Amino acid sequence: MATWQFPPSMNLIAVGVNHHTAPIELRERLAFTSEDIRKFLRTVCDGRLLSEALLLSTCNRTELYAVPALEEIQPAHLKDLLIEHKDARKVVQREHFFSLWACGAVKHFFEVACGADSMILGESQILGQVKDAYRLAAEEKATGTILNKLCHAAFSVAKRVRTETKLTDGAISVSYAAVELARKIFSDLSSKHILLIGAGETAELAAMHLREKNATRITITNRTPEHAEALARKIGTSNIITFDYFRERLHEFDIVISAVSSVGEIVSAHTIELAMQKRRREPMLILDLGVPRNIDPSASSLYNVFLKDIDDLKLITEKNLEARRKELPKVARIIEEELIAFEQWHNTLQVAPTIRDLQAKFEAVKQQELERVRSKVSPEQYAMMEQLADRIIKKLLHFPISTLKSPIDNAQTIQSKLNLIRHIFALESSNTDQ
Amino acid sequence: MPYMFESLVVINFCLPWLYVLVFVLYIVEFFKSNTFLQRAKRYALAAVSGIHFIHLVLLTLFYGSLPIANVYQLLTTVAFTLVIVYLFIELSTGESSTGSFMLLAALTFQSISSLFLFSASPTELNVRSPLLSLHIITAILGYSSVAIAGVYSSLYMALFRQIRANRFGTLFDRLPNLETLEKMSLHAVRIGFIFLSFAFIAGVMWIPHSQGRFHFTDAKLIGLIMVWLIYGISLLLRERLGWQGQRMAVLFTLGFLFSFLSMTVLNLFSPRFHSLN
Repeated sequence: MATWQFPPSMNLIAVGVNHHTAPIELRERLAFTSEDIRKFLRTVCDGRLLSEALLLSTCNRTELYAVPALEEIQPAHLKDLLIEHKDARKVVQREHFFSLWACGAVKHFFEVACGADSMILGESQILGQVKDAYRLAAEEKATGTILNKLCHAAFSVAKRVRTETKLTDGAISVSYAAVELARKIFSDLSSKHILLIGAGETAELAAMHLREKNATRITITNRTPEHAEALARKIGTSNIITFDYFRERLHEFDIVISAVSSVGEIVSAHTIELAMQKRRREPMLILDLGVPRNIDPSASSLYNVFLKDIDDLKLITEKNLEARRKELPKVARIIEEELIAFEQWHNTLQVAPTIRDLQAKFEAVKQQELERVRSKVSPEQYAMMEQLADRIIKKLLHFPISTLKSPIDNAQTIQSKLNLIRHIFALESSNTDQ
Repeated sequence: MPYMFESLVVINFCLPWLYVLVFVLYIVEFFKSNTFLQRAKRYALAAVSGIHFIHLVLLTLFYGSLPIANVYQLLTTVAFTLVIVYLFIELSTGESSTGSFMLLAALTFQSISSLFLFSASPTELNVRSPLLSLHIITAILGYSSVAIAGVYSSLYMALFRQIRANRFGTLFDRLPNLETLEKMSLHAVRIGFIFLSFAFIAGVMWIPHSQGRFHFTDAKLIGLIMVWLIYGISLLLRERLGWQGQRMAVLFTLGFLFSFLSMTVLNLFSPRFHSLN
């Protein structure tokens, strides 16, 4: 007769490099494309090394979450797998990786999904990347009971963090802060005329954020018209004015965003004063995102002119970042609650075989006893006795089963309970060490 | 109705404290945004406005006329109007961050009313005259509107200064944007100006029928004319010279302060509502 063994504790390993453990040069060497991820998952799961695997690769992290198929598999093996797959042995060492087990791995995954572990605290892009990683793993049939549950629990954590805390609130990039400021002055950006001076990365980011907030009347001007046209195509506008002419039309715009680098002053206070006169002093927001500054700072004293430069906008981003940091204890509490729930769910996986054995044992006793009286009673009486026996078994098993499933248990108490139940009911079967 | 006066006294005493309570809820929620508090403060304000309505009904039943017969009855009616208009704004727009400031105005009016309600002559004005009733009711609506405009204009000025000075604190986070505040105060002033115009015309038409008790040099009538002129000139400056933003906010706030003073401080020197004699 096979001897019953304790089910294993949570067998989840997480290894990876991220912005805490490795510089960008190393992270770049371990970056995986979607196709790379598919290939890697096929290799590790088909080779029976891992029973479940999920690989998350973003610009700030490459992390592997895995349920090993063999007990011998250690984090070092998984690190080597990643390094070998990217042929980065000469550059990346095991020391650049973090290793986490069981609840540590679960907690880290929750922190990653909700943005608490991100380089830009609370950024929401990471959740989409986690969802993509899960989709890829599911499509490659690399996920199973543990990782499916882990991912859904992580999505739930991210949702709770978004709705119950302010970790994702407020602008934390200068270009987004510019839009936030515009929305504090104007009620409806869709009706406002916006001028973008410059067509570089900063101008593009600001334009994208403006589009997200329904701004449609965007006009672009740039020294190089081709760049202006390229940006106009990207943001879906056809309004371009020549660089030499924009000052004469300045009065038409409610919001002016200037992001021309290495040029210096391109709009004087006098030009703005003339524009304000033409627009009957209607409010004008001028956001100077250029370094050095593009707009004469003395224009800030003009009536109804709101002139802000990068340093001013950084005050908004720093304030918002500080507010996000203050939310971390609330986030930690949510993660802890979800971690406990996950552990309890995992514990119920461990007791399932014993519950099955217990029910089988009682069923066998019932059948044995009913067989003894089958010939002495009518079929109707037999059916009634069988029903009665079922009800008694159900009631007798209710307490032991609910005790086993108790959510307050940890791995140690579960083991002692399983031992006790198996001992007093003499459960000894071979199908339990799942 | 038994115990009517006693009930009136109790409610009159409790109302300012109830407004203090709701004001505290609104101000705490303003600084510490919280879903539970957000709901609680709205229910609390609805409940207090219900009690305030009962107060006005009891006043009407007890004195046998609408509670517009002396300045303190008028002040409690203005406070109630403010709260109801604000509740309508909050429920229809979902915007509740200006509530604490609006409640501060209502609380001030109600506190003055509660303190002196029973010390003033309850039937100083003969409100059975239709012209006088029209004058008083339109004046209440007009003063309530300019009070709302005053609150929104003050908030506009506060937010304007915060933005100009790069102080991106709680006011910056919680208040509606400048354009919305300006629009709300402008709408309130336009409506208030129309009501004040009616109040002014009805008041002037009623004076010959007042049997000599009131005359054209009446302090409150002059006060009303001054308030009407401030708002009239403000609107004219906006239309003709394109004044807007902070300049208009300053004018609207001054108009509100002047109208408040003409309703309260002038009364300290006046033995009767409409007379300095």
